[in-house]
Amino acid sequence: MSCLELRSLTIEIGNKTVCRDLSLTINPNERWALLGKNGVGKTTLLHSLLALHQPSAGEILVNNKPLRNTKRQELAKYLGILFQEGMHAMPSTVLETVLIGRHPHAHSLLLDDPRDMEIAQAALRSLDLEAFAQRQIDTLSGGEKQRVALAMLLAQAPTVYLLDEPSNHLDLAFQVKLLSALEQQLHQQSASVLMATHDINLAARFCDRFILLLGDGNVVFGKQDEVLTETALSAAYDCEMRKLPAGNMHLYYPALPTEPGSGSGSQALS
Amino acid sequence: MIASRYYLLLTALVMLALVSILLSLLSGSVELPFPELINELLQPSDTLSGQVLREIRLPRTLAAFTTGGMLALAGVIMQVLLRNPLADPYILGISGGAAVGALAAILFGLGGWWLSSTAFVGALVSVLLVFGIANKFGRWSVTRLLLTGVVISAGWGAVINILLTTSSTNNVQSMLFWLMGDLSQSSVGSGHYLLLIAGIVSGLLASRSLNVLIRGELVATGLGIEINSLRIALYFSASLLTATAVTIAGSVGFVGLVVPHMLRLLGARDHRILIPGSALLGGSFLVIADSIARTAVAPQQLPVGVVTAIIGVPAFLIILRSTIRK
Repeated sequence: MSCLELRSLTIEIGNKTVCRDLSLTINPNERWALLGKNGVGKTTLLHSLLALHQPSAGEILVNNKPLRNTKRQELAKYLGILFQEGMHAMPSTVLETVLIGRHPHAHSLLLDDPRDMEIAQAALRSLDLEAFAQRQIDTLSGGEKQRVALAMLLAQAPTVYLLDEPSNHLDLAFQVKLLSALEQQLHQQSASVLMATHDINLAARFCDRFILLLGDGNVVFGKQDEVLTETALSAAYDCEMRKLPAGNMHLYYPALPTEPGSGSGSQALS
Repeated sequence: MIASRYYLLLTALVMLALVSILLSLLSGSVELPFPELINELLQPSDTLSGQVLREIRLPRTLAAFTTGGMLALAGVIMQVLLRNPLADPYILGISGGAAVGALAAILFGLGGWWLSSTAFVGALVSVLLVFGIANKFGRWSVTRLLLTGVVISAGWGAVINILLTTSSTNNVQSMLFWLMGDLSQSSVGSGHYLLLIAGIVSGLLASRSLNVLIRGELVATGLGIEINSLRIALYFSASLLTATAVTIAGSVGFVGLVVPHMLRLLGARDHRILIPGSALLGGSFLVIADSIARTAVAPQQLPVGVVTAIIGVPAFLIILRSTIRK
């Protein structure tokens, strides 16, 4: 049972090819990172999975059903997305906003389900937002808004979480807080995640599968040691990348101009 | 979320509606005290006051309530559709189209049925024109819709000015009354009530989606809303309500813009409350404004559109001020 399956998918935007003939499967309990340099098409790929962008060729299967045969409301129960551009600041409170996340699950046209309120409260708690419940959205800082947007997604509780730059506006402590809150909910729901991010180290810390968009339509994907190599990263980011062992993980960073081997692009440290 | 204080607000609005209708029936040049009014409503008689009540005040009051309700409802819908707090029912040029139709009828000395028909046709032409242009390439953004509407509006404005400057003084007087909104010639029938009720009911059915759509198109799509079909439905229902209201009473300003905001400032941001609440408050507001319009400088009558602004501006500012202090 796969959550999300791409079959020979080609996505183009303008005259740019985001991916060509890409086939991959996302299974339950997997954490995928979507990496690539600015403007390479990470957001377009996420939007394609929600039928917000039309692929040029190939097929997307959501919950083993073709995406184009899936009704939007059904889709919203299964796939939820954290958009890169936050919500419009309509005058409303944090709690009201998070409750909006329950929309795809609404049973009654007019009446509220008390369970929705409990779920929204729990989402607020898991992101340390309880004290903000009655605050107006437009009085929040950028980072607080980002946490509200994530709380809304947690309240939506989809089976696949699509995140577009989830660490935007967040300081390091909240990046970790956000990911652990997400991790907890993914674990409870046996859900999976696909997050587009520019932060390789955050991705490496949290994810177990990686998709690297190279910019020419070619895509490398797989486990960490297959994808996050100095060669692949250097090619993807147009810049000399280094990989450094740190404890039981690795750190990734652009090479300094003075570092030995800078410019050769092939010297591996590990 | 619908909490008990929202039920309280709705109950208060229903009371306000009843009180405003009663006050409107009581006010006028012919004396009609309260007990007699109740008597007349229960047991119609052929007295002068009975005739005044049934043939003049009651139809006019009901016309005012229906028009106000439609305009406020259309205002809420337009504000969600365009996600713009400055949107009102006329922003996309509907009143302009209707005005050109109505003024042309006045110019040719036509009144009554002709006047309303040409106004309605003018409104529909404008609705279809804006939709056709904004929708030409299969996808319509809010900006494109708004720009198209504003430009078409400006075009109608030019035609209105040509008609005004080339007409005789006598005609200009009636034209100005029509343009400012006037209920003295108005009457409504069961079709109008049905349209208002259908507007409220379908608005309520869509209210959850409206709560989501107002957060932005991407967010709404991500939460499972087919925004294109919803937006088309919103556009045409707001247009039909506005076209009908304008046909009844000319372009009465201010109600559609301000009534939804008054309710939002009072805390009713949920469309499950805002939709029925706006219809009730809009109706009451126009009934009160019209009572003032026909009694303030009697036997002279003021155009009701002037009164809506005169009482609406301070009322709105007071509410704005009191909520800022909170």
